[in-house]
Amino acid sequence: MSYRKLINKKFQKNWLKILKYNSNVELGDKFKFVEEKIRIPLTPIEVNPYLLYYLFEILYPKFINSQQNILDIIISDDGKRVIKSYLYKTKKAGIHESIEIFPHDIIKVHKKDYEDIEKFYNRILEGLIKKKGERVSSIRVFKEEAINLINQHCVGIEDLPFDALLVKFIDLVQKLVEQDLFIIYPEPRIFLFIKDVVSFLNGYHLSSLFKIIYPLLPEFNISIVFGSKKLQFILHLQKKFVSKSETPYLRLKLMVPNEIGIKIDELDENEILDLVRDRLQTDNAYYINQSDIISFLTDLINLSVNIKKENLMLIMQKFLFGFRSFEKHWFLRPKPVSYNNLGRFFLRLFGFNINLRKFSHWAIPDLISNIFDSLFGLNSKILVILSDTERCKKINPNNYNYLEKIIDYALLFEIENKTLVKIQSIPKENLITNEDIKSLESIRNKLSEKYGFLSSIIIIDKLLLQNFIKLFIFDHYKYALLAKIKTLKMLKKQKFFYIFPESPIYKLIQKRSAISLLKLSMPIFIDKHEF
Amino acid sequence: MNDHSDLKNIEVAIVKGDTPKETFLKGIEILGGISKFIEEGDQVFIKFNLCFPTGFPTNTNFDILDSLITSCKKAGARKVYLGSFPFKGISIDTISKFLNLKEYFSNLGAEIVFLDNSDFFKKKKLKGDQLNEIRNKSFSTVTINEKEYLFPKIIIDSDKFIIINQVNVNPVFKLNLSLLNSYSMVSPKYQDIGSYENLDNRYISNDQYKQDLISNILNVFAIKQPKLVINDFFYLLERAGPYVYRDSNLKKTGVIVLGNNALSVDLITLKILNIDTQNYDLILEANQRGLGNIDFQKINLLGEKIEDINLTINLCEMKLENINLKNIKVNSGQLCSGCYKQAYHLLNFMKTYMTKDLKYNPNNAFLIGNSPLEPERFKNILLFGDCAIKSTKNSNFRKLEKMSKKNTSKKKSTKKKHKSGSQKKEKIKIIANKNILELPGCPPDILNCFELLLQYYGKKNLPNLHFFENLLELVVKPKEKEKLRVMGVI
Repeated sequence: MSYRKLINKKFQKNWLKILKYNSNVELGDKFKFVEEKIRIPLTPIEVNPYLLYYLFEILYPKFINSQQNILDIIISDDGKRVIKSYLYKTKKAGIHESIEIFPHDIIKVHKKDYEDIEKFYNRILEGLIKKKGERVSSIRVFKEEAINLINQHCVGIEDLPFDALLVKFIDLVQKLVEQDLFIIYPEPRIFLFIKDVVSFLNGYHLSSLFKIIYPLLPEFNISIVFGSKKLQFILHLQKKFVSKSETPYLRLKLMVPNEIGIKIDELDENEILDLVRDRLQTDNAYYINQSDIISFLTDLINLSVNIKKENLMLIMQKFLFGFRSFEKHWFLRPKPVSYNNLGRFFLRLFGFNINLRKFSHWAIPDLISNIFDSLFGLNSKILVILSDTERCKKINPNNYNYLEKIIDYALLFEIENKTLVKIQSIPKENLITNEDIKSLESIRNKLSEKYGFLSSIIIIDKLLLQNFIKLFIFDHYKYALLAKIKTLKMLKKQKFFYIFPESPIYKLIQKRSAISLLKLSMPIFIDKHEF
Repeated sequence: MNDHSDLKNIEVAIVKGDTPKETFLKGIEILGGISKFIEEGDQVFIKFNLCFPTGFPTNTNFDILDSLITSCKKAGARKVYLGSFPFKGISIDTISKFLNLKEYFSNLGAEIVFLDNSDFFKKKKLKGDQLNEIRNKSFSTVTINEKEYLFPKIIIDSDKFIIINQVNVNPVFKLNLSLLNSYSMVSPKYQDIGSYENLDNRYISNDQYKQDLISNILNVFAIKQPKLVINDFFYLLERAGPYVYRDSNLKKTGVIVLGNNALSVDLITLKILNIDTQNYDLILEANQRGLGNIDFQKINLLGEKIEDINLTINLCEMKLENINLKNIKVNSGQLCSGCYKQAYHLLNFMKTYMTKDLKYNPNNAFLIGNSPLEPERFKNILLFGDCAIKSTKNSNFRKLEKMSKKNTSKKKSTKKKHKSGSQKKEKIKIIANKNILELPGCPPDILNCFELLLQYYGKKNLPNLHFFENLLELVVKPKEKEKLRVMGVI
């Protein structure tokens, strides 16, 4: 099989362009504006070639391999023969700039090599040094089927909106890992993390999780400036409804400020954001340091996928600490009104001390985790049902098949010794198997027979989640007090939020008014000034 | 009434498995099947752990409970009842509603018994006399060793009595054994050891509280002994327990011990977990009373061998000073098990649920026991228990010296300064130190301690405790307290 036949033409053409560009970049070169753009491999996203060069330069050593020279090997599905092998010589780790096709006889492969990749790598390394005097720091082994899947993925991706592309890409990665079609040695932490995620999901499609989350996101149009001393770049992300009847599409663009006519020299973060917001016509613009994002992602992938409470708390603490570090670690335009001192003063007169700079990053995860442990126990099985009551507005909640109609998705979370050990999707047919099963009580009994004692069932309505995500995440910078209180009030309605059996915390939410709940929890959520 | 089990044929099975349910069923099979314990038409009462409306492992593992109920029904049990008295002040009805127990057990063909009659509390127009009548109908007065107990009639009347016990670490007895589990067959009122008016050193040095407690536990246990005892430590809460605290860790051992004699099952459990049985006072006293057998030769051990299961666990912190709370220095004097137990729970509660409160209020000294060490330069002093309060009546920290000269601050007597000659002498006034919070009781009641802490520090300075107080009000309902009192429960 020839090289040309093996790889998707468009992918190959783009890849060669990348190599050519990379080979012309000299160490110390800075961003140059060029007319011709290149695509990020496996996506239709077109970017300035230098930006891609830069992304590889900062991300590859950090997340994949920090040494030079990479060898790609394509082997037959039975693992008995090498189909092709390519050597990428890299002056800088991760910067692929030249490709060399190896003759067949240089690398020999045995069926067992795929199982003992370290031994295989050492043998290759020895052979390469002897025969060609070359060293490689990393090998990537693709089975023939992996190439087929990559080729299939590349077909027609130019016309796909970003959300559909993401689903396709996630499915591709999951298949490659699940079917053991790709291995890399030395195994980077990120690959191990992906493998753990896939194994943790136990056959459940990661893309299905995306399909649950995506409709919950409101329409948005944001830009994020990733700041650094060397090269700043902008991510323009937009979720747009073409018409009410059609599904919304996600659009993503990556660019450097120069491309939209912004010269960032001597501009401060807020000035950059104002210009970016103006040029891209986005609702808001964020500024985040690249180093902070990389550090957060590094921490995230270093976590065990069996999510331990301590790890989850640590990540939550880091995230909340980042959130409270407004105008230190991140910037936002328009400036959030919650940082307006006059507004805060008036709110304080009514008994609300809202100071997001004093957001208690350490006490919030602590409170949540301790309440969770004591109420649900250290070992528990919790069924989370995502309902869609908007779809069944006309059905009376007392109707015998109300529950059946409103259930959209159901996920079973299994926790053992404060660690999330399993998530599985429960098909609707398994929840409501016959006519007798119409109540949460009967669902709990039925599932307890199959999966063991079910501690709780939590029902959350889509509308509540959509409002919550919109108001408290995307529009967190706006006051919108009435809308926010209205959303909190939804927590009190069984239709939108329900915990079965009704635990003390649920009763507390139900019993107290939204304002009284805020007054009770705010002193925990916001730190006093004394320390 | 004293339903002594046959001490000649004691059988204990040690089982190890992959899941709690499978392990339990294997254990029953090893003992000869459930029909060896349950006969056709029996009324069965299952005593399980039911402390708070919380999850596992504070309460029993419901997967095992489910299997036990199903097994009893299969063996032909006419009626299967379940019950236990929860933590002081909480009604069974409250727990049942929060955990939906009534419906859950009913679906399995069993019935939860509201031993405190709290299922009647919601009925309107129920007067004191009627509550008394209900109480008389549901309880029998039993006298053991000259002590009277109100004992649920339903347990006495049941043909078979089973204890299913979740083994967790315990601050006083190292482990929550089945003998301890049986104690909550009587209400918290009858579990109370009572206050001692004239505390003397002998009371503390002999740990009279623990001796009285052991005697009380065994009195209750002797009223109705179980036919089948299950010590479930497939999962065991170690380090801090028996409730879930910050330092708690759930250890998976995969082991369940079960048999026909509680004392022997407890003994084997201790042995497996490498806890010294020679000096274990509860077991020794039970043996003396003839409630079981601690002679290993006379116990027919089935299933796994003890030596094959070598388990070590982390027990509760025996020194209160080592619980390590932020901004609290603990000084213990000589103390009894009563105060130790309550302080252990209070300190662990604070460590778990009051992190922000502890950060907001620096420099606290927590004094407990008889004649604890004097605290030095602490802003707040908490005196826990009658012993600490009485024995520190004349301590230096009780008084402060205030100088009358302007701009002088509070200073202690040890730092007295006399200025010489021509300078005016400062007037020193002795005033009472108001930064002392007394938490009275022998031992103090934890819920009462929460109230006193909130009063002393103020709600603004204790946001965590204020939040939990609101949550607690839903569990320990003030309206129910009076009814529980009439019912003889608290």
